[in-house]
Amino acid sequence: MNEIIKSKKFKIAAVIVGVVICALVIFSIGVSVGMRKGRFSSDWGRNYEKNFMGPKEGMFEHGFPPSPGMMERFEGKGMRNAHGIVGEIISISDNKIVIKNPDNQENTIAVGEKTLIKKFQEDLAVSNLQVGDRIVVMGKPGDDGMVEAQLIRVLPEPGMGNNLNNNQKN
Amino acid sequence: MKNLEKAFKNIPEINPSEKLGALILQKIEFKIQKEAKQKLISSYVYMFGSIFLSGYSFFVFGPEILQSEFWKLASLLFSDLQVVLANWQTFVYSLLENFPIIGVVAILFPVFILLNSLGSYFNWHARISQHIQNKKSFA
Repeated sequence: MNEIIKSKKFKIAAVIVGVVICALVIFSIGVSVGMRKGRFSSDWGRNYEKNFMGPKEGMFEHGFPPSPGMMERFEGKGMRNAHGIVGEIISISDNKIVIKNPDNQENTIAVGEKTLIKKFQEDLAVSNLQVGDRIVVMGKPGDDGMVEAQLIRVLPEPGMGNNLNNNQKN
Repeated sequence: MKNLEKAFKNIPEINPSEKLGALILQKIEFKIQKEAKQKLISSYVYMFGSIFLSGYSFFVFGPEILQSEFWKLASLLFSDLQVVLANWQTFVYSLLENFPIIGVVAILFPVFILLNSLGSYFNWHARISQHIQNKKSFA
């Protein structure tokens, strides 16, 4: 038994089994994430009119979802993120925030009672947010194509770190 | 029978040349040295190529990753640890959704080649030094 375990063939077989297990785990994680993104993208498409009050001109001219480049498609950028979004606020209503991500995709964020909105160490309300603020949103996908936010963090404006450093020096 | 033995005794033995053994060893040594040199040169080429590629991919893809959505979400770990821990499943999904596969592969691939070529270099270097030691002890 000991000889079998120490043999080269056994080691190769163990490595192969390990690689297969890792591949299966990674594959299942990919499928799970892809399913969630796909379902959310589908919900978002179905609720587009409701969320944005009428489709934009040309939105569906090139098919839906819009066809991205090959590398972007490989990274799944044609799909919408359902749990984590980063972008710039383009409109704010009572409890809905519309943001545009770096890929120019618009996403609607639903702000609930439990949603934490933070800027540095401060807790903010939705009314404190402004159009043009860059935010990071972590939340759960809703059936209505909106992301139900659990945490919204307002990012510092670009170059703000430098200004702070300069002020400290002065 | 005895005649037959006598007849064979008179025939001089066909021994191989005394130099043959040394020649074979010399040939083997030459071949080993040639192979080792080739392997060392190829490992040098792979090493320098992969170092250059690693540097290039770090400069090209490093800033891209640091400015990516993935990094901004990951930085929530430092700023909002308690909220992240309370909603860890959402956080993990958000990271997986935004994982910059192309950038990470582009950075890791040259590192993988570099590690392999380093392994090959040290392996052949050890073999050559062992061969030299054996030669000295044999002499």
